[in-house]
Amino acid sequence: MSELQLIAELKDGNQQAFIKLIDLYKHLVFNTVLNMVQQFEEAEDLTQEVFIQVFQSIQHFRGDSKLSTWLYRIAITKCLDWQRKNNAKKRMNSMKSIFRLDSHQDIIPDFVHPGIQLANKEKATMLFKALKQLPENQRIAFTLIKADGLSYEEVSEIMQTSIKSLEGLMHRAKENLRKSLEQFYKS
Amino acid sequence: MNKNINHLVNETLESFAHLQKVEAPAGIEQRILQRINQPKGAKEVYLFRNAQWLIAALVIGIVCNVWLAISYNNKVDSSNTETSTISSFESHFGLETTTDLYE
Repeated sequence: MSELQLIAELKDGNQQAFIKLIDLYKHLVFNTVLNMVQQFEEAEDLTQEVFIQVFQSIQHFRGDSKLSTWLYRIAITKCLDWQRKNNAKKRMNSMKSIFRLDSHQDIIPDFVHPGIQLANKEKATMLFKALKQLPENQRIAFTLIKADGLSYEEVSEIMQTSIKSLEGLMHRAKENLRKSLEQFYKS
Repeated sequence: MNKNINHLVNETLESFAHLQKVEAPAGIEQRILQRINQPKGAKEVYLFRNAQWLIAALVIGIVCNVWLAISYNNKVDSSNTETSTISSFESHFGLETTTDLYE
């Protein structure tokens, strides 16, 4: 089944086509979300939400870009929404701890990616930790290019930006990561 | 020392090159379909759960309004008592208004 056929059947509300779509793209979406949120359970939940969003808004898909590009965009948006909610929750928790309303604070362990080779485990874990400090756009660009292995062309289409500005983002991301990694290795 | 750190940083920056793809959790398709096909009632319960904060805010708002109205009425009542005390004072001394005292 070609992509156009699949889209047409999805728009017709064909459930089998939807199952086919999940089967085709579940690993892609899950890996992207996992690299972004760095939590296994949350990644599964967000992957489900991505496909539910696809199901609900397939009628609005104009077909200007590839289906995978559209899926990446939805996945990234979901991850950023989750991140913002999570940050707000963290701020609330720190407020509570200031007023001693709740002395218990969630300690999130360092993320160990299940796909890391043992020899690289420590370094990749360190890089994931440093990634959390980056501004949103730099983090998206770096994660999609380095962790998901996408090309600059694909990422520029997903982020709806020019390749030149994507190169700038990547340069700044590397600089910032270098600074925080240097700090870590010096201490 | 610095050369060593630079080397470590460079290696760390390239550590994603060996990242292997992970398989999505088994049975995720069923869970997605379940969430899509869940009965309307379940969605309504979910909406109600989300709306409970709104309901709580409304109740607090109503309670505050009632409290403000009662305290305002009490204030008006006490100022009425004050007026009646002045009137009885005026009638006792045969004055029409309190300003007569100063004339």
